[in-house]
Amino acid sequence: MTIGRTVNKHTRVYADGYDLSGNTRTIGPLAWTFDEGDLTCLPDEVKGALPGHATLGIGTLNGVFSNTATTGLHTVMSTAGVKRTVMIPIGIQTAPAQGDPVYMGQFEQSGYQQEEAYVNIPFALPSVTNTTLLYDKPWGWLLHAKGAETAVNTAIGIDDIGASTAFGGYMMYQVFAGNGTATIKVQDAATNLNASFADLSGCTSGSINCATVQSGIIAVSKTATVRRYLRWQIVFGTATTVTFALSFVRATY
Amino acid sequence: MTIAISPTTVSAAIAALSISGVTLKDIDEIPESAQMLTPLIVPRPNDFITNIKPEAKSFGSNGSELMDVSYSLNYVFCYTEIGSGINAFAPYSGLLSMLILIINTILNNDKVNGLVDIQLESIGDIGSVEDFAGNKFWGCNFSLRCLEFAQ
Repeated sequence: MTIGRTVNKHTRVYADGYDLSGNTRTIGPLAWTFDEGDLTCLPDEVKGALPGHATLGIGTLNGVFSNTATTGLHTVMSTAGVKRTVMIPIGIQTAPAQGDPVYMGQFEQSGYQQEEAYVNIPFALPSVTNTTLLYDKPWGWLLHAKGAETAVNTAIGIDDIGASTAFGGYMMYQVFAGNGTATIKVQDAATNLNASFADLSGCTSGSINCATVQSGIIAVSKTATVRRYLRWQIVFGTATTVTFALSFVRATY
Repeated sequence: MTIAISPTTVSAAIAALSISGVTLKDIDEIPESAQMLTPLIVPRPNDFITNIKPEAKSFGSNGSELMDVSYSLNYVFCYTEIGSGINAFAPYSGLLSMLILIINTILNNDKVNGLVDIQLESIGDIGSVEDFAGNKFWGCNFSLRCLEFAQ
């Protein structure tokens, strides 16, 4: 993880287990805004408000029309009106790495508009089947950058906010390739040592067939304790290699 | 904090690129003549750094503002001396093949030490170029556009 500014080319877009980055020109705005409940009373000198419902959204994906088999933008995204599980990691001056910021959620793809060599893919509000409707926070951290793993994780994790929390959170996984079943999960720890990490209860994909693309979003209880340090973990079933990305949003209120 | 750009670091990183069959020179390695050294890529000393464009990205002053600085680095590619080969245009095919190799290498290396981004900006006319001693070579001039986060 690098700290600092970045440029657009280090952003990636993953949807439903497909890496759309190579066909994507722009995406956004990555929105997170709140309704304002006006609670101004007569004696108040200035108007005031409390935040109401949050609005999340990923705007419009503008990309290159491509019908490349299996992975082309047209091949993957030409059906509108469906829920998409979208992860947008933002690499800092290099490709996304563990600890980099991620915007994520499940959004309704509200259209597919092709014009000349390009397509516009607008996204509406988060899907009503989105388990993150429990949470109004879309920004998290990348725990595992897209890449293949052939062994369990014994490395230390990230220190995302410097403290433990007790407000739950949710994970998202994107499985791009594999050769069998595996379970992807989030682990947390009070100290950043391999031996200290244990599964974050409920934050697991369950056994999934990684021989086909997979994606999912798993929320834990809104009162779950999430210890200070976070890392990815994988348990191999029949698979010996899995290429995936994993991110986690820690709720802080 | 202060604003600082480092084109010399960038130049050294570019000189360290590996392009099969081609020698790349840094700014402290510019030969007086390219004879006997070709194929050779060397900084153009007359106009090595051009089009320096600072762009403030935030509030601030006296070096405290976030700033992007982009600039062009200009090189000359000398493939072989004109007159080489069994006829006048014998080296031409090899020149193009090597130039394509150079282009592909640069396009596949868009991040070098000291830079946020590097792009192939332009390639001049392919044909006769001169080294600094006035010798004529098959080759071309080309420019790289560099972006640094100077602050």
